[in-house]
Amino acid sequence: MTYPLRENLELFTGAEGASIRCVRCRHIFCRAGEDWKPASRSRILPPTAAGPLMKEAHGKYVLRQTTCPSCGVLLDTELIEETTPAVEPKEKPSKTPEPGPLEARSRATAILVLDMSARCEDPALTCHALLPGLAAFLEKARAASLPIIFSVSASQRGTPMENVARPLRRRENEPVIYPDGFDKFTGGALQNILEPTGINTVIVTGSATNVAVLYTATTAARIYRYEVIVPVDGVNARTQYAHDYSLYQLSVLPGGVRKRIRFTTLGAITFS
Amino acid sequence: MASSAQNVDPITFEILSHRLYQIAKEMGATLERVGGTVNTTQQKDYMAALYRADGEILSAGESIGMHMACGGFAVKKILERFGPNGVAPDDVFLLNDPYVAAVHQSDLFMISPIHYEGRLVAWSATFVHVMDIGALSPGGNSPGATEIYHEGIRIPGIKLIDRGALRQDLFDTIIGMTRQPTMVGLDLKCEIAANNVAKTRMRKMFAQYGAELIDAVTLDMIRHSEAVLRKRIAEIPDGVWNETGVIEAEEIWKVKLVLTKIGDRLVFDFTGTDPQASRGINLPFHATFGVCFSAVLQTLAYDLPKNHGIFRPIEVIAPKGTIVNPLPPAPVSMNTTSGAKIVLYAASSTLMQALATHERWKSEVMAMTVGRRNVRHAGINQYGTYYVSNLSQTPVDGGGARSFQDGVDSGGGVKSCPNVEWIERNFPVLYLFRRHARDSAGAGKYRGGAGVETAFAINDAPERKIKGVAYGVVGLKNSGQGVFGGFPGAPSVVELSKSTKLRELITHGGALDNLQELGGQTTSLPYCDFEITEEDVLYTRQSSGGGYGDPLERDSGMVRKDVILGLVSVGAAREVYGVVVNGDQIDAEATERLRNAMRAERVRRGA
Repeated sequence: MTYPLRENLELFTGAEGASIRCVRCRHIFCRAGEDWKPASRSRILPPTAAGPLMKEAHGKYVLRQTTCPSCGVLLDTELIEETTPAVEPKEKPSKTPEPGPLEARSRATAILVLDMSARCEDPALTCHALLPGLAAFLEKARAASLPIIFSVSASQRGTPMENVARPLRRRENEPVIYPDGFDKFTGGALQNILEPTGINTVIVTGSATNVAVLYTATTAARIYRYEVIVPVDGVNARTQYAHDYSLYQLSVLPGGVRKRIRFTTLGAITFS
Repeated sequence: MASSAQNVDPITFEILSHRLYQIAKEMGATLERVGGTVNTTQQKDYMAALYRADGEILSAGESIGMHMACGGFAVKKILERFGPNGVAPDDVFLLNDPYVAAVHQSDLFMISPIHYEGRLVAWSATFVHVMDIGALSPGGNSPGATEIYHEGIRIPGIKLIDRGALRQDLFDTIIGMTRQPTMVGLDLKCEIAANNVAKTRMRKMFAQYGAELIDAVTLDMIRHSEAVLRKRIAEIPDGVWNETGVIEAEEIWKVKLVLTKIGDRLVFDFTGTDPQASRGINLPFHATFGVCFSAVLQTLAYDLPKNHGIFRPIEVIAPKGTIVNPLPPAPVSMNTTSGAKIVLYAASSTLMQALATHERWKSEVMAMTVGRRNVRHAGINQYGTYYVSNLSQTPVDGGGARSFQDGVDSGGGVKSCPNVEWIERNFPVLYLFRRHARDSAGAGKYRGGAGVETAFAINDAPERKIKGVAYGVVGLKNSGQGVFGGFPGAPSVVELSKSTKLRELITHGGALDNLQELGGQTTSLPYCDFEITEEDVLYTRQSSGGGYGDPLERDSGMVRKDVILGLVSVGAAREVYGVVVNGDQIDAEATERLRNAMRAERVRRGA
C-alpha cells in the first residue's frame, strides 16, 4: 500500500514495514516517521544555477538541491543562507567514484544481470527498485543485439523464485545460470558462456552492490581480465552506505585491476 | 426563528444563497463605478460582504479573504462599542483602527446595519484602500514610521451617518486630514453607495421571502461550507508541517509557522516568530487570522460559499508582541504588502505540503510566492495638481507553477492592472518598458509564471521631480519559491539609477532595451522615501512564480516555446533545463546527452 508524501516520494508499506521511497526508482530512503533528507543526496550550487537573474543573491544565498541517490531525480530545491549548515548524512561513506558517459561495442560486450530473480517482484525488497531502470536499459541493449546473461541464486533453484523477475522480460535465448556463490563465476558456467563469444567487456548490473556485484566484478577484472562497466544506478544495496563503500572498493583494487573497472549510469551508456 | 436545514427546500436554498452572493458582487461593482482612485476603480483593492446580525460572515463577493474576515471583526467591534441600542436603522459606521479590526489605516471599513421591520437582521460592510490617510509618507505606507501615531488618522469606530443623515462636519474633518481630500471623499462615498445598494437589495429580499426563511437559509449556507470543509480536512492524513518566511532590511525578521492538522481541524501556530518590529511590517492578530482564513479559502474551500463556516475549523496561535500579533504602538502601515505576504506564504506553503499527502488533493498543489516590492509616487502632476498614486504593478507578478501546468505569466496578483497609457495620462511619468522579465520564472517540470519588469522616468513634471516610496517585502528571497524540486523565481527588486543618459536617448528617439545602455549609478532601494529627478530611471521587477518539480523532467518542446517567446534565454535553457536549442529548433541528441550527464552529476556525491 502506498500514500503520496510529495512529488516523487511516497510512503510504502511492505513486508519489511513502512518506509519512505522514491516513486520513480523505488529506492528506499528510510523508515516511515524518520527524516528522509539525511538519506538523500544533497549538493550546494551557486544561486545562478537557478537562472541568471539570481545573481543578486550571490554571496548571501546558495541553492541546496536534494536528489534521490539512486536515480538522481530532484526532490527539493531550497534557497538557503550561505551559512546554513548542510544536511549531514547519517553515515559517512568512503569517497565514491565519479560516473561518466561510456560507449560500449555491441559485438564485444555482454550484460550480466545478477540475482534479479522473481523475488524482486516484491516491492518490499531493495532489488525491486532497480526493475524500471534495468528493464528499459535491457530493451535498449536488445535493440543493439547485446548478449544478456542472468544469474539466480542456487538456493532458489527449484522454487517459485527460480525465474528472472518478469518486468525484465527475459527472452528464450538469454541464458540463466545458478552459481552457488557470491561470485557468479563460481562453478564455471558464466565463463563457459562468455569465453567462446569473443566478449571482452561486461556490464555488471543487479543487486546487491556489496555482494554479487562486488565479487563478480572483481573476478571479471582480476581473474578473466574483462573490461568491467558498473552503472551506479543499475546496482543497489540495502543501505546507501553499503552501496557507496562497494563502489569505492572496486575503484581502489590494486594491481591495475581498478583501471579495468569504469563507472557510469544506465542512461549514459551508448552502444556502437 | 427557524434554523433547521430540513425546513428549507434545496431549490429555495440555491436561489437565495446565489442571490445573497450576487448582492455582495453588486456592492463590489458599485465601489468600482462610484470610487475615485485607481485602487478602487481599476485594481479591485476593496472588500464587499454581508454579515449576519451577530457579525458572522454571511456572503462575500470577489473580495480579498483577509479583509472579509476582518470585516466580521469590525462588525462585532461596532456592536460592542455602540451596543444594541446605539445602532439605528440607516446608520453607517466608519472604522480603520488596526488595533481594533482593520489591517492598516489606509483600509477604511464602512459598516452599515440592515434593519427589517425595525429589527437588526444583517450587516453590510466594505473597505477601500484610500490613496492617502495623512501618514508620514504620501499614500500611507510609511517606511519612516516607528509608531502607529506616525501612520495617519486612526478611527476605532464612529457613526458617520446618523439615521440616514451624513455628518458633514465629521466627513470634512476626516478628508481634510489627508493629502487628497477630493479623492478620499469620493472613495468614502462609493463605500456609502455600496452599503446603500446592499441595504436596498436585502430589504427587498426580506420583504419577498420573510425574515424566518432567510435566516434559515443563511444558517444553512454557513453549515454547508463548514461541513464540506471539515470533511475535506479530515481526508488529509494528520500531520505537522512547517515553514519560515523572511524579510531582510536593516534587520532580518522571520515569521515561523507550524501547521498541525488534527482530525477536521487546522491549527496555525506562529510560536517562534520574531518580536514586533519598529518598521510598519507588523500584522495585528485579527489580520493574521484573516490571512490564514484566506489561505484555507484559496486552497481547500475555493469552490465553497464564502462565509463563516470556513472560519470554524481554523485555530490561530500567535504570541503577543510579535510581528504576527503586535502590541500598540507598533507601526503597521506597510503590513499588507510585507507581514501579510509572509504570513500568507507560510500558511499557504504548509497547506500545500499537507495537500501533497493526499491522492485527491495533491493535484491542487502549487508553488507559492513570498511577496514582492512595491512603489508609490506623489508630487505635482502635468496638470499642476498634487497627486498620490502607486505604480499599480502588484497584479503583474508571475503566478506559482501548478502540479499540472505552468504558472500564469504576469497573472499572479489578485487584483487588476491599469494600462500604461492610462497611467501616463494621469501622472507625470513615462514608461521606458513594461514587459515580462526574461529568465525570471522559477524553473521546474512546470515553470512559474514570469513576472513583469518596468523602467520608468518622470515626464512633464512641473517641479522636475516627484517623490517615491519603496515598500513591499524587502530581501532576495521575496519571489516565488519552488516546490518539490522546482527552482525559486528571480528576486523582486526596486532600483534607482541616478544621472543616466536618459534625456540623450529620448532626444535621439531611441528605444531602450537594456538599462545598462543608460549608464548612471544604480542603487537598490530598501524601505525608504526617495526622490526621482529628470535624469533618473526607476526599475522594478515584480515577483515571479516558483517552479514545480524537476526542470530536467520538463518537456523540451515547452522549453523551446519559452525560448521563442523570449521568456527563457538559450543559455538558461541549456544550463537550467538541459535543453539544447539551436535557432528555433531543439537538438534532440545533444539534449538527451546533456540531461543524462546532468542526472549523472546529481547521482555523484554532491559537492
